Amino acid sequence: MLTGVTLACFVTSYGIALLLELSRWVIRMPYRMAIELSMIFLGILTHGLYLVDRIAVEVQQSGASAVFSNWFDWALLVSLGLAVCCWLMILRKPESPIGTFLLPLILALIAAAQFLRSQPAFDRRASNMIWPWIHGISLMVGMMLVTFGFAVALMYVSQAWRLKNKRANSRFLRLPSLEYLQSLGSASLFASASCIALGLVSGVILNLQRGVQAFWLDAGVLFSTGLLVWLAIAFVLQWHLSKRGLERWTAYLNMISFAFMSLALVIVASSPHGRKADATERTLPAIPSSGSPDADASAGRVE
Amino acid sequence: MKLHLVGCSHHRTPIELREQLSFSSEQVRSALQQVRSQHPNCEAVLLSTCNRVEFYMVSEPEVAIPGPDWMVNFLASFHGMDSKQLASHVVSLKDRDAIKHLFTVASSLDSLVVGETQILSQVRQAYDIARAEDIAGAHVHSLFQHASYVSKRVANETEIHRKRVSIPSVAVSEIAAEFFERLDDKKVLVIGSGEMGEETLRYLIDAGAKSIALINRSYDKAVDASSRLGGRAYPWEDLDREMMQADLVVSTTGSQEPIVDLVRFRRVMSQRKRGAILILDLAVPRDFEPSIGELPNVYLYAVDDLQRVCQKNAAWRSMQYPKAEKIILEETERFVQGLQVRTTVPTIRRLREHADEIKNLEWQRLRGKLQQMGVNGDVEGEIQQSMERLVNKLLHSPMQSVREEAENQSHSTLLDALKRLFKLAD
Repeated sequence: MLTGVTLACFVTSYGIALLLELSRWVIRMPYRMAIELSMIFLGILTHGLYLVDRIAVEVQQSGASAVFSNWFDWALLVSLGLAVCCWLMILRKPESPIGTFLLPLILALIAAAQFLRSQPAFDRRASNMIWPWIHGISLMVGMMLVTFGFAVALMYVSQAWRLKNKRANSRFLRLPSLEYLQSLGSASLFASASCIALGLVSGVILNLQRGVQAFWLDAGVLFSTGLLVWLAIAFVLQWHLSKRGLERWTAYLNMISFAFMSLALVIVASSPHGRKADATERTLPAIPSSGSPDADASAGRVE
Repeated sequence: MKLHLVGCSHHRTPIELREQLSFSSEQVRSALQQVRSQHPNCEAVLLSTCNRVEFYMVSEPEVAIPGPDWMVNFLASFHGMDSKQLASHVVSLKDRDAIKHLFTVASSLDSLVVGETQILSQVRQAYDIARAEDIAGAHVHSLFQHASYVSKRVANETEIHRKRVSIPSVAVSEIAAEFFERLDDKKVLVIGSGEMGEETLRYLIDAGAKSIALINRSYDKAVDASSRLGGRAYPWEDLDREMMQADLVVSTTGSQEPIVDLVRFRRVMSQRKRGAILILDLAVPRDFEPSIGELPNVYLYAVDDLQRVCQKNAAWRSMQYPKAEKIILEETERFVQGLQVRTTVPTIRRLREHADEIKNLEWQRLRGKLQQMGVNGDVEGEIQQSMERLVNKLLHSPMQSVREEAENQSHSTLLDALKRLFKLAD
């Protein structure tokens, strides 16, 4: 590592921020919010530095094509995106215990990244083209938005429950308004569906360019398609139900989407989707792609 | 500065007496004109609100200031009241205590509803009237400016103003805010146009609500309220239709029976095409049957639920009281110290002038001799600067001591000693 930043640096920062967040349930503390925001910011900074460090090392060892070439990097990138969202939301609504909902998800994603660290790298063929990047980035943003939508849904359900039970104005759990959470949930459902659709389309184009046959049968492609179909249905459903005044369904649909995505990810991560044929080689290409694992790894290689 | 205050407030004066003693703006002007004609060397301010009447008189230390008896008599005679009866209800304070009291009042710590913000504007208004009547001078100016500053400090450094304590304000600013991000795009229905209804309407308009329907059993009363305050009046028969379209319903009627029962509300909900509905039932007895709150997508808050929030907020405000009081004590001390330091200024100035006079005389004498001796200009300049430094160094310690003593509130002896030692005329 060039900067000396390790995974423990940002995990500790997020962990302290989470402890501070949870302490609001027990004690009043002056400057808690300022310290919590600083800790998350420090986490984001070290998290970013860690990823930059990894990019530098990957480029040094295997060239530009090796950048973000494994599940570990992608999961860390998703958690970084969520941490930024969390920081911005807390900054906007400092009274709300947003961190209680988002920080555990960020830490869980980092734990998942660590768990997937030993997974083989992705197929790096054609990684100098635009499509692998579009494919990877749109899927990553889509996943991040689904996770974010899940946290928002949890907040919505909590807020609706406490308001129904006349617990408004509670000192401990002053969440954003129902209207705000509803619009945020609805937006993340739409945006995640759009990103997953873009990811899927770019994956198809990528495979067609590579001349891969029968890639539709790949587990990753099947589940990405399934997730997209579900998100599209969920978005239409929520639009329809909101018009009928059943806004809380947006929260339920976001929760189901997250469950669906988690299942899809588990299956995709345990399948050979996107990996290069020779999985023992570690310095592999850039982006998770929908390419066939059986395709000739040497074809179209860019090094 | 000498300061006298006599006044009465909700703390110890019954409302009947406060009503008799209260002043309209015109009466305040007239009273201040009378004070000015009788005591042209004094400054005065008369503060009159629903909960208090306070009469402040200020003068220079050397000017005679009317005592509390005269002030009570003046207030009583202005309203044709018995001064003895009034005297038993008024509070009389002087100097430091009066300053502290004004700061406490302006910071809303002495108000009926602690933390309400209206009082500061009333204090400012009282000062403005005094200024307009040419009876507020430098002392009143600095006193009321400082009161305004203290009030802002209390507002900024404590959370005493933060939480609302009246039912309609809590309903709009705290409960509705947990549901809606903004009110300008929401349909609001206010049922009842009595006192509570009108107060709620004001808060809703202040909170940005633009589409407000006002329904009352008496249509004329609803029209009257909406023309005065805002919103649009609808006849009582339109209640169901308006409920179907509303995002927020606030009900404040004086009806002895619920005006909306479960069956009727179910019917409304079955035809409704909007999202969740928030009902704030501020009426006692309740206007909406409690079982309505169990329907999905319906959030019903009755007055008891809001009362709990009000009590919690009031407790929160009282928790802030010691912090606010500390600020007031600090600022009272600071203001009094400032006044004391100011009283030393003339003596210090005279001491300085006295020293400069001696120095200049000596310089003139020496300069003539130096010119005779043919000393050049540079040497002359050096000698002059040296004399300046000598005077400054000699005066530094006594001036410093006077300032320090002034801050320690026992400066008069030292000032007198200084005047006698250097024979400084008053």
